[in-house]
Amino acid sequence: MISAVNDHNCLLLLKTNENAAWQYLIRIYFPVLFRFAHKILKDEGNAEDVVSDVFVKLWQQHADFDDWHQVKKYLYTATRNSCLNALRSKQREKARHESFANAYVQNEDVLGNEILYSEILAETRKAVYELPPKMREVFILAYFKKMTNEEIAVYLNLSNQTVRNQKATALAMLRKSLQPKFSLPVLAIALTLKDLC
Amino acid sequence: MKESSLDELIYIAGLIKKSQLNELSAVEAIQLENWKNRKEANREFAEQINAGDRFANDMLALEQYDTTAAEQRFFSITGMPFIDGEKRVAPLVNIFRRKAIRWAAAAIILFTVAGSTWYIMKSSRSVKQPVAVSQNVKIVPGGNKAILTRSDGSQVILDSAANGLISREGNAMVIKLKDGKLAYNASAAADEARPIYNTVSTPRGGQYQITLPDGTGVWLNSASSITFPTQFSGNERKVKITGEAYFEVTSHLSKGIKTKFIVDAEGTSITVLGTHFNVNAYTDEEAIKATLIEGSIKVNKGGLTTMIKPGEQFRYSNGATNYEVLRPDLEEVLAWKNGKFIFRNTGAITILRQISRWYDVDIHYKGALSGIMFSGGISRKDNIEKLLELLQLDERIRFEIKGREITVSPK
Repeated sequence: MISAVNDHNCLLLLKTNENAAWQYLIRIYFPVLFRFAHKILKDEGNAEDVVSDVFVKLWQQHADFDDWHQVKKYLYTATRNSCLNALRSKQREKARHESFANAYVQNEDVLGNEILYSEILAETRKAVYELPPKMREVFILAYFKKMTNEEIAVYLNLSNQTVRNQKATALAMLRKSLQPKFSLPVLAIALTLKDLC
Repeated sequence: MKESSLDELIYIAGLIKKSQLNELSAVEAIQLENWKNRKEANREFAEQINAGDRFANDMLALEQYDTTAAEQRFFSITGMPFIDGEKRVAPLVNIFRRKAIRWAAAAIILFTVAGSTWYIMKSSRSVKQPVAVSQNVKIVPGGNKAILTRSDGSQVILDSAANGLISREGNAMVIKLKDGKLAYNASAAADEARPIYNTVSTPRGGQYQITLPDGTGVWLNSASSITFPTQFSGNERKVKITGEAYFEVTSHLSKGIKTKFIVDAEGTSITVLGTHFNVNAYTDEEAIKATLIEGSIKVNKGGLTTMIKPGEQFRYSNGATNYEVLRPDLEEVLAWKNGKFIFRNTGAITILRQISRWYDVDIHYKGALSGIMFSGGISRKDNIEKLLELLQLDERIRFEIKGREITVSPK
């Protein structure tokens, strides 16, 4: 799906405004930020609007980011602030009693944990996206959809042995590609599940 | 929420991931434990992430989220071309930023209409004149070819080098990206006392794209070169070029002050802070030309200094005593970078010099060609025969190809 861009070269390509880099950024982060915005706004349309604006603003400002850390901070901060602003303007319009429910999502700890969780989700997405397409499919079905090897074999029209091999290779690749850069959420899930390959 | 607490959250996310792997160092384990102890909400969070199916379910939901609509919306608002599905092709008009985008979009539309058709203003007949070819040497259009010369004099042929890390010079890494572009990535502060210089040079029939350590984009035309430090330091960024290059200079700070970017082209120096411009300094051309696309630049040649505005061209002809400032056709100036030949009432000899550099052929003149002008456009990917046929379409000149030698004579 994302062949030309990965986590390593995305920043360089953003500097030259390559649309493939923007596509990569949107594909990885849009769903994660949408989830985050939806938690606060509880409205799908509004959440989509907010997150769309976050990317367009990032593009307009064309901030020169030197590392991923800055990009992430921008995305999380801008999404959170836009959501809170949207919420406040909505509150003014609506009846007072509803603001009580909103106080929960405006709590700093709740917001902080949502960002923390978003970050873990986003980094896991990046790692999974680096797998070859077929392997990625097997991996997602096995570890996220919790399908058995037999179910995956039937579903993808593969042999049981191929499914086992793909899962093993995927884990090996994730281990190898992720270890020096950052820690390994995907492997962690796999270990937690104690899956038998 | 403060800046610092966001930094901490991202750091903690890393620690939690490590803890799931039992890979925490002793110090990190204490840091994570301290964080958990600070608030009940923190401890709960750390425990919940490993419990049950929540994480797997959330990941699955994210995987199933279709971002097509989001992408379409983004690209339509920003005016960038939208690439759908699995396939990704190299954009025809590459990497235009911001304000230049609308201009680039116009250029694409123009070429979609024009295709690679050649329009000859003076054309009276449309009978195709085959180009006389003897000796079977295949002349092919130029491509992405270049040589990297390192500070120790060793060389790497970039077109055949594998993608990835090519070279390590001091603190800088030289990376060949998947699209063949070269990028410099500095990991630490530069050693101001001992800058390390690299040179990227293209042969005839070559072109190349480089991202300098400060993020500045450089497009090198054929038979050109650029020499630059692998890391910029101090308050000036100096590079040296020969031949032709297009620059998209990023603004760059050193100790809070915007640093100048200085291009030395055969004794003409161009000073900028951050802007897009083209420099044509081929020694066999009749003038040195610096053309500004956006921003502002200061040009200095032999003690004469001038500022030029976007759309203007500084031109210092060989043997002249002063410069001129013109307003050229920008499409024509940037055609090479966009993979085109575009001529607007351009002299035959100027056109043939470009052909010589791009197709790596030698041109021999039999008779005078002065006063013979052409207008038109064609893709640089087209075969030389096609281009020459178009040029001799109205029978003012004719060509003969022998191996890599082309003889041109007026009719």
